[in-house]
Amino acid sequence: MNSAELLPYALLGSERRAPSHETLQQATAGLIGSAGRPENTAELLLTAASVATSAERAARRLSAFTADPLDEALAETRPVCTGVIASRLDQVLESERAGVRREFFTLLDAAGMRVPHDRVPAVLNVLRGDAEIRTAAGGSLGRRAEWLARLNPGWNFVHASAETLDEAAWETGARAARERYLELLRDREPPRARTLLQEAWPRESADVRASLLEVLRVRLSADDEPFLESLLQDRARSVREVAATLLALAPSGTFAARMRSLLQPLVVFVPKKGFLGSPQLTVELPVEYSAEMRLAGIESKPDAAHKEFGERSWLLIQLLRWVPPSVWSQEYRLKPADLLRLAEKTDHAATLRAGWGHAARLHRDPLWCEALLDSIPFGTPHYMETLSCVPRTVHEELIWQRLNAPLNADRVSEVCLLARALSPPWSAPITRSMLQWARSAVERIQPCRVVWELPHWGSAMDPFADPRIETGWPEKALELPASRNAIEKFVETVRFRREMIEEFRR
Amino acid sequence: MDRLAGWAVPQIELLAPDAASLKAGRALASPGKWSGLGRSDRVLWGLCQGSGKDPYRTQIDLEGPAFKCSCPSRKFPCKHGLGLFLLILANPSAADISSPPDWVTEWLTQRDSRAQKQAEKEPAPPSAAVVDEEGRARRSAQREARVAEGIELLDQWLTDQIRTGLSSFPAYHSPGHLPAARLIDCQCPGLARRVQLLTELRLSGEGWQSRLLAEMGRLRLLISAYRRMDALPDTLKAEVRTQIGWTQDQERLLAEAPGVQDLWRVVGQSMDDDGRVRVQRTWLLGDRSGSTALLLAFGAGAAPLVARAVVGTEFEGELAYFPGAIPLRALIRRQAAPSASDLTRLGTPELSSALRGFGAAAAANPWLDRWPIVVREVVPALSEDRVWVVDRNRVALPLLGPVENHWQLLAVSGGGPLWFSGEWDGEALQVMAFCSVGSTHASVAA
Repeated sequence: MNSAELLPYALLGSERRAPSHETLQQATAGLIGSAGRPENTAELLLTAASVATSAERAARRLSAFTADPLDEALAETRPVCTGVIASRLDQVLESERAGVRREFFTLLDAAGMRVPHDRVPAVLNVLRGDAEIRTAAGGSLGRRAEWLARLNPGWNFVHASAETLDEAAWETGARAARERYLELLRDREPPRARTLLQEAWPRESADVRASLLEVLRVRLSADDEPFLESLLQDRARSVREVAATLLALAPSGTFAARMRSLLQPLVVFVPKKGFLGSPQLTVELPVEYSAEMRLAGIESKPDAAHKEFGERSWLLIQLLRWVPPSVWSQEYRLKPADLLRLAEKTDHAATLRAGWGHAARLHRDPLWCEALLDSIPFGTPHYMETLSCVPRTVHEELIWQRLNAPLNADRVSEVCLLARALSPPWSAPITRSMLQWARSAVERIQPCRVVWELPHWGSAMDPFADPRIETGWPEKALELPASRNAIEKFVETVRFRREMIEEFRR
Repeated sequence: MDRLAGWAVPQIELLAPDAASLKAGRALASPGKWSGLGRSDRVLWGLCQGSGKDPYRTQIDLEGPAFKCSCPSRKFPCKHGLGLFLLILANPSAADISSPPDWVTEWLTQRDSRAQKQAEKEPAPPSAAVVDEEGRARRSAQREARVAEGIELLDQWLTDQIRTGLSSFPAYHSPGHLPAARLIDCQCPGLARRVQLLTELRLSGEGWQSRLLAEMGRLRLLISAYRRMDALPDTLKAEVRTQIGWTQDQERLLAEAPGVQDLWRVVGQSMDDDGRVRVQRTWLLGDRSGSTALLLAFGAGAAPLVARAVVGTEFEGELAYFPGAIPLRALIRRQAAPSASDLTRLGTPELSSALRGFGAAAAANPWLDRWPIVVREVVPALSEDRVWVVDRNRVALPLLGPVENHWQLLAVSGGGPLWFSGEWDGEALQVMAFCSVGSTHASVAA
């Protein structure tokens, strides 16, 4: 008897049913003696099972494997990183500093090297949660990553183009999955994404409509405009706003031109008259909420963020908001700063600043953002967004000014905030000055916020700017375990980056 | 002979007492953290600035390896030791070859003199043994009686299970249901371990019934074999005693057992950890004899297991085998300095022939739990939510654990042929090491 035949008796219990003693004794084939003891049924059954299972285990034969083999991965085109760089990769994977990771992968990619195959899964797991590192890594993951990602859906970010379009996700998926589907489709076939959205439109709730519509921001074209136009009359204010934003950004500029013409009688530039006269800006608020405005998606009542404005001012802000700000500076041949100065002399300075501010941020216009920055309260979300559009030199200049100003707690907070927003890598001169300033700030102000920022500075700054980063920190700061810790972490990060960069230079 | 060459990063990782230490060690594996780095043929050293005033003095004796560090950590080896090892291994030029400073030579001298004393102590004092001969005989008779008692109660318990039926075998046992504790009292730790395994098998998912019956059958075989001990050949007698739980005097074994001299290749290593005791198994293949050998190392709690043999290396040396149904478990009697080994030519391209090796061993020793399978030119495949290795004859063996455990193996293969070593337990392969064709450096499964 083989084990499969014996198993049912063992499961049921030999006291209920069992083969005869003769059969069981035969099954042991005389291999196992009982040493002269009489054996009961249970003992015999187990002995027979032990003979059968042992024999089957030792004599197991393999049957044919029917599953398809995996396709072979494409040959790599880049050389693999080895030695110190491979061991640096292991350290980077352990590191919790995202900035350092990003830098490593940028360097690896720039050196034209790739990750060793056995590290690819660990790298993919790190990249899964960080889109910025993914961009930095570029081709350094090699072909093997693409191959692996086909086996593990969790890694299909490796090449968005390979992410399969799963129509079921659109039909029945959760909100995020549907958005992702639409994003992928928009990236590959822009008109189809729009048509799909149009078809689904009547069935979607306002909230969902607005967020799905945002997807069309990518690869906008004139073909999208009729659909967007129609949405200016949508039931939901949030949808109308997204539609107007996209129309304002559309490359044809039709919508912006329409707004400009509505503004024609309202905002007028009067160039210098005669020898003594000075140029002037005359501004009038719209008299009424016209049918034309309503058709263009202009709202009659101020939204929550513009409560301090009157209804007519609000109309003007909206009209200004959808016109690219460069239109004004080009038309009047004036620099944004000069135009803003003229605006100050009108009765509607705040209204103009608000309208132009929205427009400057929407179009990320560096000159306008620079000119507007000072008029926006420091540190507010509008300020930070405007700051993110200004040229690097302007951003650095704001820091310089504060480094040279008398030191106090407010200066410290401002420098910290500005430094947070300054994108890495920082130049050597500003790094040197900031570190020098930080040392004296830590010395003179207790407790000093700068200390907690240092680990971030360490991953953003030029690591070679200050050869003696570990020295010059006031004793007072080193006595407190927490701030000592932060300074050590900073020094460690900078040293780590120096070594890493030097390893790539070799 | 450069001893450093016998080491690779994955082996050092295995020395780490826990994941946190390894992580901290990796972070320390960069030259900027160290000063006064140096190395010689035998020893690595360096100074690492920690939170204390003086830098820590870290040193590693590659004959061992043994670690020493002046830091206050209770972990062993500490992060400094791991960091130093990882650093110099990845970047040997970071440490100049020079003669060690005094604090290093001092330590080495201490170690050598301790080793020498140990060696002098080794021959057991014969007179004392003679004196206690009577006591030993009495203790041994006592144990035989206890074991006989344990065998009886196990037989009774097993018979009860079969009589009442395995379908009611409980998935969770109240203490006392399993006779494991009573078997320990009867000095049968080997039987107790196998009895405890039954619970695991009960919870092992689909097909547990036949696995449970097979393991009970093996216990039944032990009982029958024990009762007929006098009729068994010496090798099988020794096997049965080992399986029940008698241990060998290792010193005596090293002194007396016949040795096998060969070029030993370390083809794989695996670890069992039940939370209290860690058992590390290291598999060796003899180049000339074709023998298989298993080295066991035991560690309690967080204490590290220092392997004397590192996967991907080979050494000329002599092993002393424990007596058993087949020669398998062994001790290293003599070992020349190890060097890196190209494992990729080892093994067979046919899984069925590798499995025949297991079949022959399992036929001679039905209690054989695991056997090394070393194959080359196999490719991975996915089926039934598992990873398989498939050979050129299109037959396959499944790897232990879900697909998620095997991304590294899949990444290294890229669908192409692999050299592979694993432990076969009769059902699935526990991955030990693998590498792609053309590469000589094996990745060691974590």
